[in-house]
Amino acid sequence: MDPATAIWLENVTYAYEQGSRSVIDGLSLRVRTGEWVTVCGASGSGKSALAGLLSGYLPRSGGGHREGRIEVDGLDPATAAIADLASRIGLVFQDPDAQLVQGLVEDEAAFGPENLCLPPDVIRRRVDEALRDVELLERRRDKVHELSGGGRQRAAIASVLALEPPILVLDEAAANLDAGGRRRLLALLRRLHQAGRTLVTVTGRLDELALAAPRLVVLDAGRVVLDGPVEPLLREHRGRLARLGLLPAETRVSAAAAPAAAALRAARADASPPLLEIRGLSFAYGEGKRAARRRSGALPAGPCALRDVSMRICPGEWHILRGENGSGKTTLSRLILGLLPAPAGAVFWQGRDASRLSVYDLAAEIGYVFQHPEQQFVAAKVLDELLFGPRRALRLRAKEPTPEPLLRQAAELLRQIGLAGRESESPYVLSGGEKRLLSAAAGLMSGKRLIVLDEPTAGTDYAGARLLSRLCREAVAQGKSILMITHEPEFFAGEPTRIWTMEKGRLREY
Amino acid sequence: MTAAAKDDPLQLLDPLSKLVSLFCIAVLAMHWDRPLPLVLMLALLLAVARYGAGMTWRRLSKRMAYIAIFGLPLLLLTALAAPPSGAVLEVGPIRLSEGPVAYAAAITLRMFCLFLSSLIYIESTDPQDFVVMMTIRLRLPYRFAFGVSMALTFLPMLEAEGRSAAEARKIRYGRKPRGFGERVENWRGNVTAVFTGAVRRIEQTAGSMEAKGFGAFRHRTFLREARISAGGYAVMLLSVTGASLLLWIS
Repeated sequence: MDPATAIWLENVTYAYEQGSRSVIDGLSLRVRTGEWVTVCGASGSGKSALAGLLSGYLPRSGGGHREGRIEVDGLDPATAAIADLASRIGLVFQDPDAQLVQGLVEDEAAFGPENLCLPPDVIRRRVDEALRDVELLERRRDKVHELSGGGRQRAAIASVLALEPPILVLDEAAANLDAGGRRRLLALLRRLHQAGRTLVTVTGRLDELALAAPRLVVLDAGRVVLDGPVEPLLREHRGRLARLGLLPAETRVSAAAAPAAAALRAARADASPPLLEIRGLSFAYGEGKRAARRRSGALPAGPCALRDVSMRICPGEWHILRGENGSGKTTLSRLILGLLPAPAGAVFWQGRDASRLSVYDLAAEIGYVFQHPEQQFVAAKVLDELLFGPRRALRLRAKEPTPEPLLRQAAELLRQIGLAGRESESPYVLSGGEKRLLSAAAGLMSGKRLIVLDEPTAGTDYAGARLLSRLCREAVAQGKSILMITHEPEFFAGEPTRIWTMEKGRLREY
Repeated sequence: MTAAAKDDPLQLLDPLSKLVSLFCIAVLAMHWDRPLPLVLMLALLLAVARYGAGMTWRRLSKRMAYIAIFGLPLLLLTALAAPPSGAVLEVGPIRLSEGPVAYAAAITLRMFCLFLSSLIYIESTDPQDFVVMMTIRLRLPYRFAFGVSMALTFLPMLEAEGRSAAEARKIRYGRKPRGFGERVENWRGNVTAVFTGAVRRIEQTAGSMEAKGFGAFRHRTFLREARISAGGYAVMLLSVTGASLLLWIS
């Protein structure tokens, strides 16, 4: 291999199981040493499989069947010695929990260099530098699992940086980061690129971070369909990139639709009492259920996760709750659902004090779409997953057939989210974006009155986000209410939403 | 094992000294078969858990309640099954004699002592310190030490995942399961979710460890030092001497 070539793939094919559909299909690619390339593709285009193949995770640990030739700094990642590979290429995945192996932030960063038998003073220097780069130096003695999602992702990045690999692959590494975190990551990538590292950023969206790379490679159905400098590609292929869902659409909602929906919402809000009302809610972790119930309106003794939060959600309203990682958004949603003990007299569901209602009472009418879709899957097949909620609502037994209108509705929804023909597949084998859409669709089809969606756009492409936006719009038009927790409210600009900002546990509208 | 801020006395102590003490406690607990010394040992361990390891009474009572699920049936079965001896106590149709009751109490107390001492060790020991100490001082293969440490780190993580899976099911089910069939189905769903989650997590973690060079060499270096303080040596000496003395006396 030419020494100026860092990564070389020639006619590579990969399937997660031998004989199954190839997710990488005859892919060829060459990346020069010191180059920064963005690999972009819609959900299911094979980009994460490509990242896994480059790092050797596939097929070594993740299994599957690979054909064709891959060289990373002159080594085949599938057969190279572990130490050689670890010191040449580092991979940061989308899910930080999938790559954190130690207890403390500092241990996490030191883990790789320790494995390579580096002397302690070298390890210390690398750990300090890596933690400084991701702004975790102050939190080096904290437990990684107590950090926010964004903090854990930064810890995962530090653990790879400490290995100082000349080639770095980041697979949707910014998916869990808020705007500030993304800016910091971008600055870090620029520094690493200037220092001569080879960078491959894998993403489903051509956003600021993706477009910072000088070269863009676009994947579709496991093949390279576009490859070249960013500016000319964007200029000449904007339409195609938008059709692939990699660029935001020109218009999101028709100009007439938003005011009409807003008027309808206002009329509904005037006519009906609130579904959910929160009055002066303050909350601190570590307080027992009894303490939380005794207290009403008073501030908790410990450090507050939430302070004096008030909001109302009426039928047919769509609320967006935005905020930085760790600001208290997920805490609020868990209190609404009774997954954390709500203080007495602070959270009301249809006029009833939620502190006196069980999770089952609340879950009868409130749905929750989890941040990690795998956590909520209950069925072995895609279609069953979608039909689970409605069948439950109709109290159908396992052997009773699903009513025809419901089946038609599910088939239409599957078509919309691009899963038609995959009804019998396991939800677990879908791509990250597909899992997310399926979980959101299942939540919205459940027939519940309020749906809480926790970071539904994390790691999805623009097409997925647009689709989600449309599903939510339709649900709201049917009178359902939505509370969407997201650090990407820009995806829903133009929709009839009310936007709330959570900042250090305090909530304000817009 | 936890890696909390080191504020409590036992958290400041190195894992090896604590392991020696744990071993001495285990030997004494296994040796004694009368309730009185075991009651005293349990009281001492409770005090150590609260004031040495910083466990709250609430946390302690939860953990003790868990072991009581196994301990109480053991107490009853042993008391009823052991051959009668000594004074007889009649409670309705049940006849209990002093010997089997004392023996059953000792067996149960022993169980509590062994469980609590292990719990104190886990609660007060940083897994990474454990790995460093076992690898450097006891010359155990680091893969083995990491295996033990990872298993103990995984337990609370899997517990948290199990809780999340159960919560997700509660929300998606939308009502309490009714009847035996639904309860079994619910339970099966939770177990399956935890099992698949555990398999996925183990696979991912193993892949991630390998990607960071784990297992590349026969030995590895550590950023942390395996230091045993003067207090640690004193604890070891005191534990071994104390245990020997008590064994000799009894």
